[in-house]
Formats: sequence, C-alpha cells, structure tokens
Amino acid sequence: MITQEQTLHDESDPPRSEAAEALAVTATFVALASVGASFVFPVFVPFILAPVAIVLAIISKGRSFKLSQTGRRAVTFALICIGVNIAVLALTLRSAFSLMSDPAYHAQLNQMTENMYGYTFDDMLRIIDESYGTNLTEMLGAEVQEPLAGNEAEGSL
Amino acid sequence: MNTTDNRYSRPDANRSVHPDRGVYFLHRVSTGIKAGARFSLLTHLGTACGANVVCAAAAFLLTTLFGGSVYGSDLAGLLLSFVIEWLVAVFIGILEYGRVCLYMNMQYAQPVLMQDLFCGFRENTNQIIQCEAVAAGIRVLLLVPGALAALLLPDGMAARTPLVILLYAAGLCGVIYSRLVFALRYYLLLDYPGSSAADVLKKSARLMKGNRILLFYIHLSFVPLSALGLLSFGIANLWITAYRCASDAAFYRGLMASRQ
Repeated sequence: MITQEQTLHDESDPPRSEAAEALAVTATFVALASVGASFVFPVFVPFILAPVAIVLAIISKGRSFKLSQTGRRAVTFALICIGVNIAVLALTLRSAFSLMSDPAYHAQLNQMTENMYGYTFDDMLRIIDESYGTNLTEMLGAEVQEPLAGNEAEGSL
Repeated sequence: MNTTDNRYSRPDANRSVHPDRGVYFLHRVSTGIKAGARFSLLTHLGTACGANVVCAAAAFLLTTLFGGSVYGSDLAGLLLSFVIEWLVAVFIGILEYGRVCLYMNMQYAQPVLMQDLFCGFRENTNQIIQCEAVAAGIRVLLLVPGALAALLLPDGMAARTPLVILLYAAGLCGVIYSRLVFALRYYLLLDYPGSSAADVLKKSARLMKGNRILLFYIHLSFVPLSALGLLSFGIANLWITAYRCASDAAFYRGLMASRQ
C-alpha cells in the first residue's frame, strides 16, 4: 500500500519556484482577459478563458498545498467572471422566453421571419421539432398566435 | 522482473510506513501525489499540453476515419465497429506509451523532448501492441453484451430497457476496474524494457492490488476540474489532462518508492 511519505507529501509549505510564480501571473492575466472579454464577447470567451485561468492557478501551486497570493487572485477573478456570465446567460434566456410568451412580440417575430425566410418562426420550430424530436414549440409558447390570426382575419375581409 | 535494475525507480531513503486507511488517508496521499505532479509540470506545461494535443488529434482522426464509417445498425456492423474500436485503441496505445515516457521524464527530472511522444514506434513496439491488445480487448468485450442486448432484444419486451441499462452499467464498471488493474502497464514497460507483455500485465495487476482505490480516488478528484473543462467547451481539458497524466506518473513513482 502506498503511503503518505512516499508521495512527496510534506507538511511544510516549500518555497515557490520562479516557474510557479510565472504560471500564477499567467493565470491572473488569463483571468483578467476573461473579465475583459465579458464586456466585449460575453459568455463564450469568458467561459473558455476563466476555467483555463483556474486550472493554471491550481497547477501553479506546485509542491505547495496552498495557492499563492497571485494564484488566489486569478481564481477569484475567474470565479467572479464565471458567476457573472452565468447570470448574464440566465437573464438573457429568461428575457427571451418571457418575450416569446408576449403575443404581440410573438406575432411580430413570426411576421419578420416570414418576410426574411418565407417561414414563420413557429414553422421553423415545428420543423426542428419534427426533425430532431425536440419540444421547442411548447417550450417557447409557439401556440400563442391570436394576434397573427386576427391580422389574417382582418386581411381577408 | 528484478526490481533493482529498473530505469526510473530508485529507493527514496527514510520512508516510513503508515498503516492507517480511510478516506482521510486517501485524501492525504492523493494530495501529496498531486503536489508532486504539479511540481513536475511547472517547467514543462507547454510540452505536456502539446503531447496531449497530438494524442487527442490522433485519437480523433483515427476514430473519425475508421470508426465513423461503420455504424452498428445490424449485428455485422456492430461487431465490425467493435473490432475497429479495438484496433484504434491498440494503435493509440503506442502514442500513449510515448506520452507516459514524457511524463515519467518530467517526474524524474530527466530531459523532456516532444519526440519522446513517438518513442513507442522505436522501442518495445511489440510489447506495447500485445499489452494494449489484451487491455483494449477486455474493455471492448465488456461492452459487447450491453450493445448486443440493445440491438437484438425486441422493442416490445418489457424488461428490455432495464436489462440493457444493467448490462451497460456492469460493462462500464468492468471497464473502470480493468483500467485500474492495467493502469501501470506502460510505466512498467518503460521501467523494465524488454519484459514480455504477459509479465508486464501480471506485474501491473499485482502492484495495483491494494492501490486500486487510491488511483480511483485520484481520478475521481479530477471530476470537478473536468466539469470546469466541460464549461470551457473542452479547451481547459488540455491542461487538466496534463495534470491527470502527471498525477498518474507521480502515483507510479510513489508506488515504486513504497516497495523499495
């Protein structure tokens, strides 16, 4: 059975090497880049950069069991960045769903996509549902078509 | 195999044995192993990630080129896809040996060169192929019953879904167990060049006895990081894989030190 002593485990915190500090600094830069990217390219770029910053900061611990000050800063920035971007994503999706359930907006969207592509937005959802077995029509409330139906009725008169 | 004339392992003096067990013990030992892994990675992180990119690209290309063309919609197709999966795994094993060589050089502070990744094509090639043929063969065979049940059992059968899930789950557990048992095959082959494949597999199984839980725990400790890697669309996995492979090498080093 392998034991603690045979795994280079040392209770004392060994001095950090230059390589470890350089890696921690790199992790901080990547974390800062992810924070900056949150303003320019939200969600996608920060979701790539922030986890990379965390992993680099963890590796920068080297033989030590604690993160250095710089590494801790990198992890903090990256975690804040991930949290903020998850919140942004959640709010965006929530807004999209709530807008889709607004009959006036839904009718406008249907009209717009029909003008652009020749299909209404609801048709597109139905095609996707039929092709991939998804349930987007129900999820996005595509049945709400009263205003559009009203417009068609007015047009036919 | 003589344990005194190996290429890497050397006695680490004044190491006492602590016979305690339990999750706390596992955590402490795995923390030590991972600390050693991080230290070895510090100056060679670029090379380690480069090696991971090459391995991942080779695996992706081979799987797409050969595995992607066959889909097991009938019995013959299914069996052919398993054979192709096995052949691809055997070929990837040669690169895997090179990757292990790279991480062992990092662990023992020896020169680390990217060309070490291809050393499996120069040395021990037959033994690597034989080792991987057995290890990958067992893994593939363990997954065959679940796939066969999913393909052959009639759709209307009430017990079909639970049976398929049960067979797949049992196969998966078997795959994890076989991976743990033969986890040291390349390390041993590298440490004792010229040994036969059978010797290496037997020695790996013997060495892993009593240490499987620890290696499983180490691999399990990477799950949160892997979830983070998933968030980054797999890109952070380049560094996470390097960390995990370095931990495997540190585990082997610790294991060999404990035996001397």
